[in-house]
This record gives sequence, C-alpha cells and structure tokens, in this order.
Amino acid sequence: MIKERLKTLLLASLVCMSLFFTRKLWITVPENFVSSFKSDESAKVNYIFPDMLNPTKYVLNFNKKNHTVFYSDEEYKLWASSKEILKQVLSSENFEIVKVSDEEYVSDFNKRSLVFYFPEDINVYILAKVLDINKPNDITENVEEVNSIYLSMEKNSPFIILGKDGNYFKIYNFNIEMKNLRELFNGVEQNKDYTYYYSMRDTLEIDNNIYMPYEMINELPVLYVENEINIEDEEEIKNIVEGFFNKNIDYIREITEDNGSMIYIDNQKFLKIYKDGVLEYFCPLEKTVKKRNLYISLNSAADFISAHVSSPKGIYLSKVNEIKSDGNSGYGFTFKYKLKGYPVLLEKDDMNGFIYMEVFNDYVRTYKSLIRKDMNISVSSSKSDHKMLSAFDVLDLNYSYIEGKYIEDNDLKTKNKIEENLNIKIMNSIDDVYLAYLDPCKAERGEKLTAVWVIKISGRIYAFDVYTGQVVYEKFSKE
Amino acid sequence: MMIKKSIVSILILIGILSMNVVVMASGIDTNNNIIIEAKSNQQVHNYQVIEPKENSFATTEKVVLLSGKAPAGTTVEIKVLATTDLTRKNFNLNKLPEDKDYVSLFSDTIKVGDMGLFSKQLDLILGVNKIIVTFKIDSDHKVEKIIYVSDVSQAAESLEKIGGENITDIIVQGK
Repeated sequence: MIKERLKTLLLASLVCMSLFFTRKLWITVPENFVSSFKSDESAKVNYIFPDMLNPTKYVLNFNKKNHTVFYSDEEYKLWASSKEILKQVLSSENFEIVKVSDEEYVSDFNKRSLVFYFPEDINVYILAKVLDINKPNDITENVEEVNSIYLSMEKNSPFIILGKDGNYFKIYNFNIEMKNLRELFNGVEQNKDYTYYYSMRDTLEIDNNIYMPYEMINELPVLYVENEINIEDEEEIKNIVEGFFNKNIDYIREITEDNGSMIYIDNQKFLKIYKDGVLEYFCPLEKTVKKRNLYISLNSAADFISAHVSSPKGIYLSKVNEIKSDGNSGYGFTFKYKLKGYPVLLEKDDMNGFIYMEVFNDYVRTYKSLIRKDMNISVSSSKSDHKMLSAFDVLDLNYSYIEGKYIEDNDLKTKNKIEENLNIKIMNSIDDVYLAYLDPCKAERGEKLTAVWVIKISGRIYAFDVYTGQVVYEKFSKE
Repeated sequence: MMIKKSIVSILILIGILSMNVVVMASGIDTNNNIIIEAKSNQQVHNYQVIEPKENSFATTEKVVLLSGKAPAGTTVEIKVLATTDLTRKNFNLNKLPEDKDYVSLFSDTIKVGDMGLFSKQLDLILGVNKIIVTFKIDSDHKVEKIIYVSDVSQAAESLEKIGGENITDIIVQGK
C-alpha cells in the first residue's frame, strides 16, 4: 500500500516537473527570444531612422553681436541633447502656443539661443515619432511642418519656436529642465574656438536673415574618398548581389556589358553595378499601394539603407517628393551625405544626392546610389600656406561674375530692368550660404575633395574653392 | 520797411536750409557716424560705415565687425587705436583719452570691390578703442567709432555703480 502511494507521489511530482519545464520552454523562453529579436530590430532601425532627420546647420546666438554656425554635432552633441528636450516638449501636457511674427522671430536671434536648420520641411508628427514619442501632444496638430527649431538658452522662461518660412509658433510655459543643454551651449562660448558669423541684415543692411562669416579661424580637414563598392572585388560583388536578391548568386542571371558594368536579373528584379561605383536596383511592387504613408515609407527606406549600405553614418534625408506610378502612390527620397561633419556636393550631373529611392509604404521599387567613403588618410594641415577665405571674401571676389549670371538668369538685359542698386538686390536673393566638400567623382579611389563655400542665389548654386575663391561648380535650376 | 524785413528773413531762411544740403561740418550724419571732414549729404550717403552703428558704446566682446559701403574702387584706410588703463587714468566713455594716450593696434588699407561693400573683423583690447575709417576720396572723409571693452566682472561693477541708468545705453551686448 505504501509502495503504491510512493509511486503515485512520484508520478504526481513528475507531472509537476514536466509542467514546470514545459512552461519554461514554451512560454518563458520564446517570449525572451522574441523580445530580444525585437530589440535587435529596433536598434538596427533606430540607428539610421533618427539620423535621417538630422539638422544640416546649427546657428548659435550668444548675444546680438556674437553668433556662430556649426554643421555637425560631433564635437558638442547639441542636437543629441536637444532631442531629449524636444521629446519632452512634444509629449508635455502643460504648454502654451502662440504664433509669432517674422520680425519677432528675427529679433529673437539677438537673444541667447540655439537654432537647428533642416534641409527639408519635416512633418512635426513624424518628428515626434522619430523622437520615439508614443502619444504626441496637440503641438503636432497646431504646427504641421518645420524646417527650423529654435531653442531659447535664456535661464528664465525657456521657450522654443517651431516653424518654417513665415509660419512660426512659440511654445512656452512648459516645465522642462534645460540646464544640461545650456551648459553645453555655454561651453562652446567659453572655448571661443569658433568662427564669428554675422547677420547680413545687421552688417550690410540687406533684407536677408542669412548669417555669414567675414574671417575664418578654422580650416576644413583634407579629405580623400573612395567608392564604397570595389567593382574588382568578386567576393564583395557576390555579397552585394546576394544581399539584394536574397539568394545564392549561382541562381541569378548575370550579364557583363562592354563598358564593364554588370547586370543581375532574377524574375522581374534587376540590379546594375556600374564601373564608376553607381548601383541601380529595381523591384516591382508586390501589391498596389493606393494610399501613401510617410512614416511607413521612411521606415522602409531606413531598413533598406541599413541592409544595403555598409557605412550609413552621415546619411541624411535631403528631399522628399510625392510620386505616382501606375496608379500607386509613394515617395521619392533623396539622401545626401556628410563627411567629417560637412555636407558633400556631387559634381556628377546624373546624381543629385548619394541615394535616390522610390518607396511605396512597405516596398522599395527603385534605388540608385553612389556611396563614397572617407579613406581616413591623415594629412598635415597646410595652414601656413593658405588662409581660408570667408563667404564674404568669395562673394566680393566673384561679384562681377555673379552679377552677370544674375542678369542672364533673370533675363534683365532684354527686359531693360537693370537697376541702380543691383548689388543690393543680388545680396537680397541669397538663399543659403554653407561650407561643404565638393566631390569631383573622377577617381574610384584616392580622390581629394575640394573644400568649398556653397552659395545659392536666385536658383543658381555656386561652389567656390575656399582657398582660391574660384568657381569650381555651378548649377542653375528653376525649382 | 516790412517788405525789406520779409526779403531778409526769406534770404536767411534759404541760407540756413541750403547749408544743410551743401556742407556738414564736424557733426553726426543720418547713419550716426561721426564725420570729421566736411562732406555733402549725397557723398556721405555713398561712403558709409554700416556696422558698428553706434558712435560710441561699451561691450564685453573683444571682436567687432566693421562693415560699410563705398563705390567700387574706393580705397578705405582702417586704423584701430587703443589705450588701456595701465596709465591708471581710468578711461571710459565719459572720460575719453587724449590723442597722445592712444597707441596703434592695427592698420590696413583695403580697396572696395565691385560689390560696393567692405568689411573687416577687428580684434580689440580691454579699455578704450578707437576705430578710424578713412575713405580716400578727393579730400579724405573720416568716420570714427569709440568702443569701450570691459570684461564681464567690470561690466557688472559698472552696472552697480550707475544704478538707475538705462543699462542698454552702457552695455550694448550684455551676457
């Protein structure tokens, strides 16, 4: 009898143990497994998605007569720190919002503040999503799009201004600690290791809010680049092709053209790798996309870039176009690149940016890229030989040439509209001034980039060598 | 008698009005520049210092931008003179140094380009600084700017002393 009871007890304990281990195996383990997979995936996306919406220019206003401009966040991490504040502002329950006039916005540049500029208008809801806010507040309904974000660095009554081209909204009365950001900002001012930028409005009496320098203290580092794709490396090409088609290269049709370009075809998917490193990919849509969604499309673009670009650091979204094709609605995204913190301009006519892709929500239909990467060659500075010219210097040196092009572009000669104060009108027409690198795209490896001042005047883009002041690139677009 | 008085009054009035158009002796022009040499209004308009706007001011910034406009080809001479308080004479905007107290800090001559604008970023020192801009035309046309540079602690001390006075008049670019 006792023996039977012991057997029953043993059996019951075995059943309990089996239940315990089953639970461990089928409930706890897969749950952990799934969550770890999820966090991996989000880490991959997050690496690139917030990077896409990075400011290209930062104006730091220390007081009425002391301003500077940065192009990257590498040294002071001002944007990284500001994102935390924006995240709190866009999810805060307590705030007030009021529209401000252009005059008020311009005069706020005389107060201690930090202003971020984006190359493209950003939907504020998308910005909130990029900042990982689950439930954005009403600000996203009041302000639709922004291309600049102003953060007051005054100690008392902090405020921010969101907006674009004459539509500026001041957000205030929020209770958010901005001390850390203010300390970073004060650190820049105390270091004094920056070039002074001045408002054209104040210093030249020009009706223009652009800031530009009159004397440079820093230099742009010497930079050599190479194509990311080495067309001679068979193993690398094999990996790229298999990455795009997701199958062994032996099952993909390959055609080599006389000019050295290689074409890979699988069903209706198509990949072409040009000898100069340009890559083109086409994949037909798996289903019809009638309603476009910017957030989903940007996520798809981010995933695609993460999967197919080995060094996506520095890539930023430069332009968004709404597109329609065969009844499908999507977006055309142009991405540009920053190297050593400065934007890179391509001299290649058929490439506006480093990456152009057409995305229809979850699907990437076309993708074209020319990725160039820093060869990290250290070159000693040639400070004693040359002095970098300021934006004012290059404008002054090239004024006659610029004036000639302005008359030509605006057809002023035939219209007999050449005015007495044409110089003032031309200066008023300056849309942007920034430092960049110009990539001549002539060599696959060891190409030295030219440090340039990029100046946009009335639809024409000029790039001037920062040391000689000569025009090294120009393009006119009526866009 | 009455007619004679009227004619004399009109002539005096015309004389006064025409003086403003023809000649401006040492005074202040429409852009607040101190004008040393006699010039007509029209000429003054063509040769201008745009920045700094104020004739004399105090600041905590040791870097200042000088900008202006002049017809293309004009030669512009820029001189920066300065004096510190090493002489213990406690110079400031109310107690300006005499010419003999100044030492030359910087001097340059530039030619205005086709754009018709010129600029120069200048480094100043603590104390009273004088910027003299000379437009080299038929007879030299000079513009002077006086800038008192103090450090932040000095500026705070001055503010305490002046008490109720308008702060912005004293420190243009407070921190």
